[in-house]
Amino acid sequence: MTATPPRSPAEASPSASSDEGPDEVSALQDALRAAHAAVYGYTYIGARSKGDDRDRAGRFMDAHRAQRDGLREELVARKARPAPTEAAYPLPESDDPDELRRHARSLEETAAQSALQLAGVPTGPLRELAAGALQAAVARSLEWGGGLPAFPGYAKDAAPSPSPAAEGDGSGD
Amino acid sequence: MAESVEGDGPSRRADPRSGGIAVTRRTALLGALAAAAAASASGCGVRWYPSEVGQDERILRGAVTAKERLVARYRAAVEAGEGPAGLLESFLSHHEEHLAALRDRLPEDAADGEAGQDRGSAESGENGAASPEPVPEEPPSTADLQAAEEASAVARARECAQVLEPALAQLLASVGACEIGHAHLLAEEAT
Repeated sequence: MTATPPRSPAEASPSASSDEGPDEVSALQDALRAAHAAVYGYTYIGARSKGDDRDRAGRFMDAHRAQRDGLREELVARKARPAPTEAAYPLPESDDPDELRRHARSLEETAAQSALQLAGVPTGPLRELAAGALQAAVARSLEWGGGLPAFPGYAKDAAPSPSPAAEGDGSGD
Repeated sequence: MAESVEGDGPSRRADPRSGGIAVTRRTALLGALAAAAAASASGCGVRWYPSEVGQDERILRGAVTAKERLVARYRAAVEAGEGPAGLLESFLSHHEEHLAALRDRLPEDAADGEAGQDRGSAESGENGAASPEPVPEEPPSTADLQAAEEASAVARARECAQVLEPALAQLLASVGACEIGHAHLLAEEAT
């Protein structure tokens, strides 16, 4: 089981953006929802992990908390009401370490998709924030043993130039 | 009464050749600027900026040129057979995909391989300012490639904020994320 993306991958993909790009508040809200899900998910993962995985879950939860707080501030600055935390989010199907890591990778994939969507807003500073968030999500996913696609953040069927080479490099979960 | 002040500050002095008030450096410069602006406006003479190239195209050309250099460096590393071969070949493949995607977004009349080398730039300078010619590479070390990837990722994030078109901004953000992933994995390989 994986966390539900803020929007479907197709909607989150840049190909779905209008010429003007996604609405700022909407993109910020989606990124905030992804951050909420990540904080919740890492709380669960950290409580059921040991050793390096536990440390990693703690560090990454802090990173997503900081991201969440920053996104809230951006929304408040735009007179928008930040999306609240849900009562619960999808969780791993078991506490097996591999399953916990797989769930962590899915959290980061969702965060990456929402960051890519945010990168299409008209505002330069928000785009910088989004580009940094996307890079951070990719690095965290790699630490969980994730693969590296040529175009992180895009849905697989929406990458700018999908090619067989991208499929054979260990990308994806 | 003639007066003379050396330096860049305002000054006036009699010009022994004309017998009138000579122009200062500042007024000379202003005059030159005005003349050049007039020449440009009239359609001849000096052009101050390559106005026919839009902001997005200029940034895109820079990204293409930088990516061409990175591809050249990876090819040199792969051909030298040093470092983690499988990783480097995989990363080279990513960069070639990036290059194809970036070139696809160039205007049709500039999408060939030479176009990006005419007016592009690289991370070493601001857009449009660096020498675009991919230079022959000594095989770079893994640490060299890691540093190059990190610099590229920083440049892509900056460009993401600078371009006007949302889809191009997203493409640059994604390419930069892949590059930081490369840097991350190369750092792991080095430890």
